Amino acid sequence: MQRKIGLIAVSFFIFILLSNMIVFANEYGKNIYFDGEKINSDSNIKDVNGEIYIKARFLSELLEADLEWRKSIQLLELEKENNYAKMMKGNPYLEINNTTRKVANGLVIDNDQAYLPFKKIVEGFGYIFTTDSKSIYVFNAEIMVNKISYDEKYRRLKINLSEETQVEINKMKDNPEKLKILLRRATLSGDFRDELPSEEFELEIKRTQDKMYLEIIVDSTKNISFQESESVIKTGNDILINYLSKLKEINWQDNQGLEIITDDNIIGEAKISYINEPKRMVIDLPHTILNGFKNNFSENRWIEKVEVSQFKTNPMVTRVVLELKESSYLTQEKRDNSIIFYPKGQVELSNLEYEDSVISFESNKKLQPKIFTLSEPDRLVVDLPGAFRNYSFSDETAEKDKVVKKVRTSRFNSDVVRLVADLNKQVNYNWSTERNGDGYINKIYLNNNIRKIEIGDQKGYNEIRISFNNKLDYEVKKRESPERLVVDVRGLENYNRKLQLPEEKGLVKKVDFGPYDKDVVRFEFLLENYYGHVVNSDNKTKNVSIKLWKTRREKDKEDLSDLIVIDPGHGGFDPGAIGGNGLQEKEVNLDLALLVRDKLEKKGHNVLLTRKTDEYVSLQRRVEIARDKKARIFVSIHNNSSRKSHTGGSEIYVSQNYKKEDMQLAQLINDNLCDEIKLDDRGLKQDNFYVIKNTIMPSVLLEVAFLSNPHEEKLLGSNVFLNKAANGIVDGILDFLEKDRLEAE
Amino acid sequence: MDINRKIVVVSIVIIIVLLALFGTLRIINQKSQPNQLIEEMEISIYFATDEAMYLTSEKRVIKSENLYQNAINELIAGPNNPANSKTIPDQVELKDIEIINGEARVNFNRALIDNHWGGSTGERMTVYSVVNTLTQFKEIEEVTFLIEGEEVKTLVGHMDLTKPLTWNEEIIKE
Repeated sequence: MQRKIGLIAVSFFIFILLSNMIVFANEYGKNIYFDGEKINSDSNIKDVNGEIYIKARFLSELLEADLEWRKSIQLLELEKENNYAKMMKGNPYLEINNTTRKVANGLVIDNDQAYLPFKKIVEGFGYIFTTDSKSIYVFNAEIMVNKISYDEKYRRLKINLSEETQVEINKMKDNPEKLKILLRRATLSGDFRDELPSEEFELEIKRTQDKMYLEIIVDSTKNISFQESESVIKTGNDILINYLSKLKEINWQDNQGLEIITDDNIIGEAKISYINEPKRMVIDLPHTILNGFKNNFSENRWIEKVEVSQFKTNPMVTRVVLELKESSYLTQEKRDNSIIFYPKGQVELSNLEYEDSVISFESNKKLQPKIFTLSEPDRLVVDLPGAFRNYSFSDETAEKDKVVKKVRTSRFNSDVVRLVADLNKQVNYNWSTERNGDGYINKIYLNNNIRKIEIGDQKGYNEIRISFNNKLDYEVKKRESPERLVVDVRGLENYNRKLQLPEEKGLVKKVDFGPYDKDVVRFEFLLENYYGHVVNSDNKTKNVSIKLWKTRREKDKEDLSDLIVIDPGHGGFDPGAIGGNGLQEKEVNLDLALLVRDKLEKKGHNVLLTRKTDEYVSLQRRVEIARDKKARIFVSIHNNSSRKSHTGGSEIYVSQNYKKEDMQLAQLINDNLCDEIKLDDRGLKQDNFYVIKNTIMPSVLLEVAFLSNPHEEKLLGSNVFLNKAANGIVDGILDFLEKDRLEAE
Repeated sequence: MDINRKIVVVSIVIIIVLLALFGTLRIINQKSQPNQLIEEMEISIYFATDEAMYLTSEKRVIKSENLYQNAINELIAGPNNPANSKTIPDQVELKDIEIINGEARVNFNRALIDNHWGGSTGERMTVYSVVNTLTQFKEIEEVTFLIEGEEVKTLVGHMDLTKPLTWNEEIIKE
């Protein structure tokens, strides 16, 4: 016991000695700029194992902070206003403003002087710390940028700051959609939030070369008119930048009609209304300013005159009023940055039908419908502007079911035909329109519905496509005798049962679908022959896509240049799982990996094992091997274990942030492996496993069988079983490489 | 009669002495942790399902003093429902738990690695039973595993434990 205490004391003493020895560090060659001013740093700065340290006394002068050394407890305290930092000698922690963090080199004492980690302290005190090859820049960023957001209602970018500052905003010369915002002495606050919608904006934030300005570059799909004083507003701590459209021209041409042109597609959201006595059209252009537009209007037989005004300023609205002649009627068509009003024929509606949650009708021109739902009672309303009904577009349809009570139509005003579906309950809906001869066929899908089933015929493969109006969950399964592929889809309800089925094409002989299980609809594709398939769509999708190989793999056409890395799990002092009869996982993994390698090499493929013998290889090393050798795929072979001995079966893992190709590789190996070894298929799983998470190429981790299950342990000990498993793995890998080849063609 | 009275007197004296002792302890306790009452609360402990496909919870009522330690000790003790399966190997002891900024640093003894049965499935069940049991508490957002006080790269060679882990919803089946 005493000896033990002695040992601890000695090692503690050595530890203290060692931790003090680190101090013999290099003098530091860089200049310091503090708040833009060059400071003579001399011997006040040290490089301690790569970290910049500063003499505590010097730092306290620089920051005008109070420094105190509590000798009795060997504690150093630095305090300025609301900030404080504490470090103890021989203790690797830095306490700074109520948080504690680990500092590898601790508090450094040299020649009776205390040195502190420069960056950690000044950053903790709210300063900005940056370095380049020659200098260290430290400055007090007084202005915090808290948030950048976008207000759709006002079409306005809002930058929220902790206080007012000097701001300069310019369009970038090389790209007028990019906006450069310079904020003096500003920095991003710790909880800075970028709340811009990512599909419309991209942010790039950096510092100017002299480090005094924060430069924010906003790249957006919107145009901005900057010359206008209305564009930028400073109110208190907010900077508001309005994305405004500008009215550019109003033109009349006899053969075309009246065109209103702006410099932005926001004109698509213009509100258009008809008013009688005098008969006129009112067009409100949102977020649009009126500033010296070209007026090329001339009176004609349809339009008496045009009046333009800045109708509102917050938000900005420009109003265009067309005073119409008594008998004239205008149809409108919205284009990218303009609207055209033309006195041509209206859109004819015909053949209204309802069946299985699909409302369909035809039109001779493209429609611009407005669709919305109303409640109490639940209704779906479809407004069709510029339209009229012919005899086959009836006032009411007779069909009804558990979704729809009635579909009725009426003329809503001189411009709009209104279609109303009286519903039994609220539904999802989607509008789709397709060319049909000279005209269009328009469909409104209610509920989750099927849109189309198609079979594509490409070189090398047939593609099965099933499309829905919403994203749905599905599962693809291979079935035998007869050979067929089934797709089980969840969430379809009162769906379109009389959908047109595709003709026989390529390998696909017959297509059918129908209810299968509660909430599951099964699509069945009868195949002439089966050579393998790969699911090409995401897990939850509107468009299921499955590729079916047309031929067996052709040996001579295979691309043999790809490197396949096989990773036998565990090894050396790490046996992995151990079976009840003593079979060790490391041995099985290696035996199986060697079989897989031999089979692949026999076919001319390039294979590398992460270990060839019973040796320990770290997880990191395994990942590095695959990365350094630029492997095409990485397959880690393991065997499983569980607490209860009756647990059994095989499973396969991809990483949690898997890509499509990881999933494809996993699916192909799993299908082939389960076919061969015929154990329980525990399925495809995702987890945070080191080797598959850190490899960049498609990678999977296989758990072939359970060593903790006596039956499966016995199987894993037999060559017959290992050969079958190796065949399954090899076939899965070859199917994946085959997919590569077909995609390259 | 006399003997009975003696027994009663002795018992009363013992009770008084015990109460006095207990009272002093309580006072000491209260001095160090003011306003803290010893309460109980109902929590979930996550064990593996029969086929080790998922985790499932069992309810336990435990003392809220040393809440996190008590929760892990319940997990170590194993399930009440025989259909569920233990996730922590034999002889595992919880050494301590430290909470820093929402990160729980759970320190086990070496038995968690040495006595582990291995396998990806085995490792997932062990790791996420601890993570999910701890992250049910609002003060804990993420969990880091320590073995004998040291950070580890992995438990038995599959999972990456170099970064703290958060609640796993997918692995639960109630």
